[in-house]
Amino acid sequence: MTNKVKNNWARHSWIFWGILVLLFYLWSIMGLNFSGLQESAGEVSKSIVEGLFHPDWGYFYDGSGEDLFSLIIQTLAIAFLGTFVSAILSVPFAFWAARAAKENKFHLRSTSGKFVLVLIRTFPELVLAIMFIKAVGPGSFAGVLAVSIHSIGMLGKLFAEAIENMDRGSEEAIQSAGGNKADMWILATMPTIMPEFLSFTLYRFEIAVRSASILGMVGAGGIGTPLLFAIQTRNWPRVGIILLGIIVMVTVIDYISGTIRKKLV
Amino acid sequence: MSDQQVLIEFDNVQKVYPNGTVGLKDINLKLYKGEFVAVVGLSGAGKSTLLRTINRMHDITGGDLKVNGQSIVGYKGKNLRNLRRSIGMIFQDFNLVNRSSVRRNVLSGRVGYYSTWKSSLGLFSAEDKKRAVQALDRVNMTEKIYTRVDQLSGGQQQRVAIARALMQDPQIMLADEPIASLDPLTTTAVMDDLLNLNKELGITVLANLHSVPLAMKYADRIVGLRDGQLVYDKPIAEVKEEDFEGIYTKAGVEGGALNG
Amino acid sequence: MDNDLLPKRPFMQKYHVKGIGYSVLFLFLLWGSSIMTGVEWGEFFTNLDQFFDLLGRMAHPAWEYTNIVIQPIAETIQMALIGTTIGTLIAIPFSILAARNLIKNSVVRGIIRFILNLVRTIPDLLLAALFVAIVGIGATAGVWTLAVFSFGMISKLFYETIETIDEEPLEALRAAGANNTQVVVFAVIPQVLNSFVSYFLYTFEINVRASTVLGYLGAGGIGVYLQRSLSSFRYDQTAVIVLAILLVVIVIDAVSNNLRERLQ
Repeated sequence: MTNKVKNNWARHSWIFWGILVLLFYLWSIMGLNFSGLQESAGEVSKSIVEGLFHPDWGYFYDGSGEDLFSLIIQTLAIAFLGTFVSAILSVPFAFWAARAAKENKFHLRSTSGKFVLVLIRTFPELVLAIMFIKAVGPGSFAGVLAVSIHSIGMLGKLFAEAIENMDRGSEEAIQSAGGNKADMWILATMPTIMPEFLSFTLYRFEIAVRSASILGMVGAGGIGTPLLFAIQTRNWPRVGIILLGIIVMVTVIDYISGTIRKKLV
Repeated sequence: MSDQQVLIEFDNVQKVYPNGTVGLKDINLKLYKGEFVAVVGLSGAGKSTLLRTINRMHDITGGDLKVNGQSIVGYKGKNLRNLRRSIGMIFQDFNLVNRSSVRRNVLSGRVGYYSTWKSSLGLFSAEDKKRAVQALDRVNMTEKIYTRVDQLSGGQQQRVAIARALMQDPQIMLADEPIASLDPLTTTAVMDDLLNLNKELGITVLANLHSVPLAMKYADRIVGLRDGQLVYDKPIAEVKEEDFEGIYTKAGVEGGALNG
Repeated sequence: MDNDLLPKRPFMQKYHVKGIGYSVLFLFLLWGSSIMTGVEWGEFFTNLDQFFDLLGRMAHPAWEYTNIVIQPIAETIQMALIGTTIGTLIAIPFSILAARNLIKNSVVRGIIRFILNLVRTIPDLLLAALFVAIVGIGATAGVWTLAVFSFGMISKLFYETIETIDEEPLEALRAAGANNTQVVVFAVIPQVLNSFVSYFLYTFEINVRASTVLGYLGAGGIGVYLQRSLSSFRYDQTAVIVLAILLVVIVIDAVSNNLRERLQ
């Protein structure tokens, strides 16, 4: 009897799921207020495309320190320093969140650590940047702080997983040779896990470069500030050159970081 | 055999894991200085546990275990460190730090002789660096000293692991399935290395082996475990191949091995 | 005498030239970055009281604000769903054109992949700013932003999946005289459907996260209120919004993760 019910359910459950998905879509489409395109939309798009093809090369470098080149470098500096600080801060979080033995699904220490990492990861980076601007004033230092804290959420998680999956054999070997906990940590754990940590940190750096380039929109330094200003003043050739700058920067960084990561693992 | 010096003595040793699994049951066993003893049995029979109770990587839950006539059960701190550094151990999966050089791995075997801050900064003495070269020479691996471990074959890695254990200047060498991850050719090389340590340096070797023919080829004495119990113990001269049916088949409880 | 046993190390290796070089370069980059960004940890720690004052104000959320937040939160999810769907629909033909095992013409593949790579380099908030300029303030800008953003991401995930499929059914169909469309419909889609749905859900998760801040630049959803509360210094309201975002993201992640596990 129950078997038959189960069979029926298995055969027809797709109808249930289908209706559910359909309702979800209906709710979304009805809920959104599609304002329709502005009349100027076509014109603006045309200007943007034109701007992209006629970038304002004069902005590339003018020696003022407020030009594209200087601000791209500043953006990279924010990402680099923020990721570096974050990588260091993430290590204790990772050991807090890593499960010691595979068999326990719930463990007070590791579960609480994982939860804290979720909170950090979900807390919007922009809000964090604004909070730090209150503390240290507008500028790239606030950006560095925002990247440092926000990245802990992801790096801590990746590090913790690396710790959980690492091969514990070399630790056992050091212990059996008479080493204590500290010896195991320095001679076995660290050298085993460092390349993975480095690789994850580089990956996170790639993401940080992207976020550092927009943190300026709230005043946290880097190329984002002049970009938002250029968009708001409809200076499309300026937008074009900045967009090009960001695309080149991200592509180059992704390439370099990807090459190093391939060598590491 | 009774005229030989007893090195390790199991006295009614029990081991029950926290989850209730019985690891070892009523083990009574004497190992003599200079012996090469092979431990055979199915996986899960307690071979690894037996080895690891000797250097206290596992603590026993009943009975007594003596090394050099001293009970090691209550050892802590410095005593435990001294016990462990006098016992070398090699593993099925080599347990080397794959991304470090051979040299660094071998030197790390000396860790029991250094304070933590010295070993962590790599401040090994010139004498120990020389010792590392000699240890590698003994297993014919000197030309690989600066190579990264992950560039070596399995057999080469196991020989580096032997060199690392030699750095401890051990009295006893525990080998936990040393050749289970190796092909037949490198198996011979690694087993020959172990035999050399035993014959030339007088190190007592206790090796877990899956293969009875290999045990018969290298060991002076064969010990059999089944379900955590000692079911076989004979010097090599008295060992017959048929004996092992009792150890390797569950059905053969009443087999010759038990009565032998 | 023991040294005779040892192999000779080249100069570079013996004196750790590479390691020292990289370390120096790294320290130089750190130093340079600190100069560039004007890092002053002293300033940070002396102004820490302001930071904690702000945190303190956020610790007393204005709960009465909760009712106001519900509608924009719903809008955020709606934007994410529609945006992800549009992005996916555009991504499917592109991912087929970018897959090595389906399109043998490397020029077409190269051009498509180049476009996809370009799209993926553009940060989401930048897209939002552009779309607000084009279509005006509101959820429409958000939907288009997320559509383009997920298009870049999904195309790559999809074509990588297509490239890992089993080739034999394809050959069998081709041998039976099927054309390219038929091959895709009968041999490719059945093999990749589960991964596609799984990646769709994954991208949806990421878009829900992203859509919570898009409104900061006027692209609809909860971000609009986030910006409003922050610029009027109502941190008690900000706290409610952040909590709402946390809740929604965690719930969506949990549901989506659960569905993805079932698909495997």
